[in-house]
Amino acid sequence: MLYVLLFAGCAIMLLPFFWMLTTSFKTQAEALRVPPQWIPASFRWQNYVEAWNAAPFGWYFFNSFFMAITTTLGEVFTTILAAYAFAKMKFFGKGPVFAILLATMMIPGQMLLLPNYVTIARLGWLDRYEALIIPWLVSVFGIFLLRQFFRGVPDELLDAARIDGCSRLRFLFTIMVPLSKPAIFTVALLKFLGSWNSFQWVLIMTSSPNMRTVPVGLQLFSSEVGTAYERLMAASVLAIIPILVLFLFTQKQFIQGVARTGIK
Amino acid sequence: MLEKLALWRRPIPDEWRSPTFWKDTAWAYAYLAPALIILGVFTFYPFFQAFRLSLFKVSFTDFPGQYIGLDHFRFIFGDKYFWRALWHTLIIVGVSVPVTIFLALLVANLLNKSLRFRTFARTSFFLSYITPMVAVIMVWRLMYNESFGLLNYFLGLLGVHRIAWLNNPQYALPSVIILSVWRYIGYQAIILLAGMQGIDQMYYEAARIDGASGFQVWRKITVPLLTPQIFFLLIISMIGSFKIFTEVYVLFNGPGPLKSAETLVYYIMRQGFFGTQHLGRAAAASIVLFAIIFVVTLLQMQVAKRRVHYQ
Amino acid sequence: MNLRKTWIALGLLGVLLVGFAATAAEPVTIEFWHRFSERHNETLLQLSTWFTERYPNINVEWVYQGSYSALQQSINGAVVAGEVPTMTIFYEDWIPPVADALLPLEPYFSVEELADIVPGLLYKDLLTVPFNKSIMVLYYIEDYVPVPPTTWQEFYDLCVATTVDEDGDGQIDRYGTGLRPSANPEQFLALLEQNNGSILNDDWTAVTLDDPAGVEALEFYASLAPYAWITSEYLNNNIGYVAMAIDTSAGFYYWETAAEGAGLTVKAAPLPVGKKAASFIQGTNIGIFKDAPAEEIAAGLLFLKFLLEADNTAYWAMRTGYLPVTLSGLQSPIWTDYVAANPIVQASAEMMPVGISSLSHPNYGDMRAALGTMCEEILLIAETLEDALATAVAEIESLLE
Repeated sequence: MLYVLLFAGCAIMLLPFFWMLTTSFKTQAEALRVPPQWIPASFRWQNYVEAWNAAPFGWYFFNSFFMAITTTLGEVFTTILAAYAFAKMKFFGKGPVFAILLATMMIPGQMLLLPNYVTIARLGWLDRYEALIIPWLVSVFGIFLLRQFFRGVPDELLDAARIDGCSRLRFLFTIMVPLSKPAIFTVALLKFLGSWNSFQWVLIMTSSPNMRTVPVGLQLFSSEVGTAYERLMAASVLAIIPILVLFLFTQKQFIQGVARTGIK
Repeated sequence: MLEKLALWRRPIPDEWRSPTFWKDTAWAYAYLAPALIILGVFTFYPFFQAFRLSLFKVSFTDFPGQYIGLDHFRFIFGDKYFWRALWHTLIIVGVSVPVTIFLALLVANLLNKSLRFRTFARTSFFLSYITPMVAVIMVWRLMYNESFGLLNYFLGLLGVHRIAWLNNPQYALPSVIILSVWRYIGYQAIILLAGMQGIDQMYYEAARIDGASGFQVWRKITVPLLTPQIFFLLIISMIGSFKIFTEVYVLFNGPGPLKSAETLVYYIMRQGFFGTQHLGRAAAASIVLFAIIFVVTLLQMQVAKRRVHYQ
Repeated sequence: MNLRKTWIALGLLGVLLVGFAATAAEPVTIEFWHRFSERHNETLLQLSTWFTERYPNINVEWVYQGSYSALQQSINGAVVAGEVPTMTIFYEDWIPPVADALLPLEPYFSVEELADIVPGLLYKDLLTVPFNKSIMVLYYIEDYVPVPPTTWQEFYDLCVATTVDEDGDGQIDRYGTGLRPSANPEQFLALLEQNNGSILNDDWTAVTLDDPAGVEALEFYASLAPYAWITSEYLNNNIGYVAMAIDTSAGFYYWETAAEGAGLTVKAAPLPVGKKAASFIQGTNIGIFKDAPAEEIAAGLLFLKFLLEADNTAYWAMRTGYLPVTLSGLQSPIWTDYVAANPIVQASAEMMPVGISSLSHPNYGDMRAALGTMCEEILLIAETLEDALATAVAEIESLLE
């Protein structure tokens, strides 16, 4: 009985993906057919070729990867440094500064979108990579997460290292970082995902086709008069594949990382 | 300076006397510099700038603009579309938050049992959360199509009349809500599942010894001990629902028929970016958004103090 | 008087050319801003190549500016910053805010040249000339509508007849037509124009939308509701769901492809005729900036005239699905041969001479949105005509500066 429920639940959750995949191989007539055509008669790979050629998907994917990778690497770097400072150093203003950082998590991004647009316009960064990358090199949530982890590393280790003449910086990168690999990996993974899926920001900050990322490019593609549904599905499948691949290889860490965000 | 400190009547902390402390402070801020600079420019500055923009008449050719006081606020509070957007947002929050959490509880319960295909099931539920939202919304657009869409097909099998999901103002919000529930149910289930697996078995042992029924166990032990996770999910899903924009924009390629799916954030975007740009009005509306989220979070924290049970 | 104007025009052009020739050996580059998609890039390049073959000194640099709104923003920004290109494409309603920055073109055109441009496309001060235009036509699926309607009564009757519930399950399986109130209020505007109605009066001081002509047009539009699919989606993507559609000629390629894919035959006919024949033209124009360097302006004018030449506008239209913008272009063999080979384009060509464009009022965008809301209210929530009109009129009145 429970199996029936489980199976029904999975079916509902997976149905859209199934539909997306099969429709991406259909002819136009099959896609519009009533009642629905569950399996296409033949597998029309051309849909994928046509979709790819109909819009600059090459640029979209390049930009998405470039933005995701650079922001992830950058954020990991700034987060490691900042979390370390909060976890292992005593300094003037530590409490208040940390409290202020936490408070920023309450600020909705949508409130900042407009002023940031003005700032970026005035910096001359509109429609350029700087706008896509630089503002996203920090994540307060990441700092918080990593700080928790760093605090778990015993202070004695640090003291012993200092006595041996090891500098703080070296200690950080040669000892603490390797110890915290799972946490850092989680931070990186969540950042990559968030960056890849970023829509509103990219929509506002870019205007030329060569600067758009996959989500925005896909949306534009869908609003063009010549975009037939089966080609739209092909493009959507392409948009999902990179994340799907990433997920398949990192399933455990992914789910663990997400679960960890909920534990107070 | 020493007199000022004396006025505060606080003793100077010992650590402030040591020069290493100040050396460490310099180092610490060096470590924090990249993060603080970026946060400063792209979080703190715009936060205050939003308030300023809402009180000035600004445009790109006229920067910084003239002070006009609360005119922008007067406009949006007099704009029927603003109130409608707010109302739509409240409906989305009011329906999707409890429904999603409730369903997620059921799913988590199911996943908690040692059944075969558990990993497969877990992945199936999680997939909707991690896949890029825009791509997923595209297939929902197809499924919502009134002539060949899957939803109307299934409804037809049940004898229900065809529904114009995306073109009928009455069904626009339900379309968004259904999509939202489907998208987050897996994420919430995973969090609840983690919580469930963290519950100490001894509670269940004791209950079993006392002969409690499954339902009683559920009500008296599982749910109360899950309150931290439930509470967490309540906060983030409420806040998340208040900020819904992309779902609407991509699903309807606009704010929906007769703006029936326009949310608060969509209203902000429309004022600020689509059509004639009214930067000040958008800023004013975004401050209302911030105020709402702020108040909601505070309220929930108060409730948490009383209702959340930690082990 | 006409002859004099011709001489003056030729004279001015001559002066420019002499001045231009004086600095001749120097190559000149025209910067042309646009937002045409990849599909049209080839054609643009071909045109500029031919132009450079004729005038080896002049180079045309096509600069893609992104979406239409991005282009508009760039134009406004360029004017404010004082860094303008030579020429760019414009929507009519983008012109007023930057009107002072544009070169008045009338002095450089002879009377004959002006008379050659399709009448509905000429503007008050001739700050721009038309470039890519499309017109609303009536697409119909021949399998359901063997003979297209020529009057609106016929159209209405056909809508009623072709709205069918084929499998008797109580649900309509196909509608007579498709209405897209918010996405395409031009469907209503074509009706309005044909009924001799208008949105504003001639000097833009009053709203005439709710005059009897406007009310009549709106009544007819509203009467289509039970027999129309009311949506914001593209009708050609849902081919077969509507039997007829009032849609832009620029989409004919997509209609044909969709029909082919579904095993149907789609054709295009001129819009049915009301009190007069008319249709709605959409598309952009070209303008030249006053502040560009003199050689660039001279070169730009030459390019402008080149693009308006009969064969060139016909070539551009043939390759893109847009329409020739001059009467002689409509008669060029390049175009007529193309029409003969593609009957679906015939309808649009026939209607060009009676097309009208959108108002070049600076707030037209918001007015159009108000019209869209009015149409939506009537079709979607059965708002009474009086109320919907009243709201729209009030909104548009507030937009009159």
